[in-house]
Amino acid sequence: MPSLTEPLIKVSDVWRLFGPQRQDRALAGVNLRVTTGDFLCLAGPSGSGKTTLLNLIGLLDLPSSGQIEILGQDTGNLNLKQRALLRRHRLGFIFQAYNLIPVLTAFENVEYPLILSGKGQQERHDLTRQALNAVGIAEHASKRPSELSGGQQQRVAVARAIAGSPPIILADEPTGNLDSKTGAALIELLLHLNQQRGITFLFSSHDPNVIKQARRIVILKDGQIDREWQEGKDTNSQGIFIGEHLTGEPPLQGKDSEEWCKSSALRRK
Amino acid sequence: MKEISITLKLAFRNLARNRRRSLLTITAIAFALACLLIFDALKNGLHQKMVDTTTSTDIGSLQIHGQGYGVNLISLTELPKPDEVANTLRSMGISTFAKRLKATGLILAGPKSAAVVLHGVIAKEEDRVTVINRRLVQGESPTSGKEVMLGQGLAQAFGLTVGGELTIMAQDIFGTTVTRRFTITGIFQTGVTAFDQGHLFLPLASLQSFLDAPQMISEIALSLPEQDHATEANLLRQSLGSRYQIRTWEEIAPDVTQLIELNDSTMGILIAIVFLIVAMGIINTMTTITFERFREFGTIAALGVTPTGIMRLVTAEAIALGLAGSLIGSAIGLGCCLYLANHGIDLTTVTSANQYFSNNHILKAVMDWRQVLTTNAFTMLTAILAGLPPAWTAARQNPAQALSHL
Ligand SMILES: Nc1ncnc2c1ncn2[C@@H]1O[C@H](COP(=O)(O)OP(=O)(O)O)[C@@H](O)[C@H]1O
Ligand SMILES: [Mg+2]
Repeated sequence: MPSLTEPLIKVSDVWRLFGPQRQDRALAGVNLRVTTGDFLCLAGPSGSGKTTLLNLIGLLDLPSSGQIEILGQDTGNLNLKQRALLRRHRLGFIFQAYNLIPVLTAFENVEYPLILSGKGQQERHDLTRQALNAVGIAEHASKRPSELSGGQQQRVAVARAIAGSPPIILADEPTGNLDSKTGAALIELLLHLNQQRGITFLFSSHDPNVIKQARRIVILKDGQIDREWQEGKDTNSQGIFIGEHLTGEPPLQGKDSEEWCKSSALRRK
Repeated sequence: MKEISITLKLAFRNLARNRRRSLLTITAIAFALACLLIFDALKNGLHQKMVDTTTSTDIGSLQIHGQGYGVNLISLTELPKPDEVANTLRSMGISTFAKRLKATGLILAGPKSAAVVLHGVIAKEEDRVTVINRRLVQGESPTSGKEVMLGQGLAQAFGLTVGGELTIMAQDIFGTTVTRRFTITGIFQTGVTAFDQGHLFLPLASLQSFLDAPQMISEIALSLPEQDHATEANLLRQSLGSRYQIRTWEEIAPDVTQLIELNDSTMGILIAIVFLIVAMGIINTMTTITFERFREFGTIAALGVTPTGIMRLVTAEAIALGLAGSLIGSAIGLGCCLYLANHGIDLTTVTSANQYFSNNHILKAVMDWRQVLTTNAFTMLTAILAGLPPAWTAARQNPAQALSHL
């Protein structure tokens, strides 16, 4: 077990280059530490590298260079199978498009990762029920994803992510496909799970209403960490921080920020 | 393992989800398999007919001769100590054999003459090996000294009927030409034209006395169950030693063996083509399935399913398709085979002049369980192999890329 001071995730000088000449720098030298209990939002405009960074941390992709440690373990030399097993036992995922298995019921979807981690049937059923209760969707347990609304599906996905109690849950734009009210409710749920159960969340968003719920905000820009804010640590309030960087108030890099706000407002429609 | 049951659950539900496509694939596999089973069984039936006709007309399953026996019968070759051979056979539990004396002769009737093979046989023994006495179309088998029966082709060529007479000329064992007149008691028709035009039967003792060769035997023919005769031939070779020559019907009638082999290889090519088509069908279906579900594979990879696990998931679907196709195809194929085994197909219009269909013109299916099992096993193997390439693609995919797949 990692000690409390040791970061759950340590990203050191990570680069991710795309393109035939590796000319697209999706990430250019990112350093990040995620510690236990974080409710961390990766913010930044579209194309800033949020998905790329979450994919790398989730061991779904390989960095072009740099190091990613999960629970103190360097992941650079792991093969496909070892990476899959590390994901299975240490990471939970929530996706923008819910990504439930369409042929499985809500219950079975939540149970699936527990089967993978080799838990016995009784334990599996208990954990599944607990998780479905925790996200308030227990009455829909026997429904298939197609019979559920987007918000309900995403709650099932949250239950799937938390059921096995992984030390950290990664969520790339978890509210991206939800209307603002449902999205806000989902973030409330995640925050509740973070505060009541101490589950660490690392999620991305470009929606100010979502970002303002975060206890720690990391702003990415052009593949690099532009700014950071942490509750209780930084002197200026979150509101000012978000205001400066997300709502188009006279900022440090005014023009970029304005552009981004326009585009993100368009996307949210 | 728990992962297996969820793998199967996913495979079946995904197949059920695309019911139309799955059914289409299964139907194609089932149809191909059923056709192969039916073709195979009919081919077996044809081969059995060919073998039956070949062995039951004259040859038997295998024959024993004295060493140096020549097929053309230019000179008489004696089979030494026939009684000892008969005892050896009985001690091996074989009672279905017939002692014979065969020689060449010339029949003369009026201005006509023809070379024939003279068969000296003991009717009682011959009935255990061949059907010749059951192929009489007129009269009955010869029983006493100066009686013969001959093939219908021969009788027609000479204008002879039952009760008529003919002269036979031959060389006795000393090389002296001998002639004798015989009365025709019966006319047979085996359907094998060459046989009906050139063979003539008379009691063994009668031929022995005609050729001045009392007690002489030139051949013992055995009738054995189909599978056993090669083993028995080897046993006989060992126990009888070098004074005897033992040949199976395959060696005596290589043309039939070759025809069967030719049929088998034609069938083999047909099978290969059918399996290739089945394989392409499955590959096509599996490739579609994998591409449709790329994002899903990315998702389960994120949840911690290993590449092997993903391979298993895709392969399970291919196996399920193959299995369903196999079961349905076998049911249909065997059902048809069962019907054809009982009723057969009437091939009168295309086989009336075919020697192998001389008994009747009904081709019946003959099922061989080993064949049924291998055909099924091959279907499954094809399904699995065809599922592997798409399974491999799905398993090796970078999960991040799979997740961004639309
Ligand atoms: N598979 C890829 N191939 C090429 N370029 C990519 C790929 N994935 C991401 N990129 C590029 O990397 C940059 C960051 O993308 P992304 O991480 O998706 O940003 P975000 O999630 O913040 O919108 C973008 O410029 C994008 O075009
Ligand atoms: Mg993104």
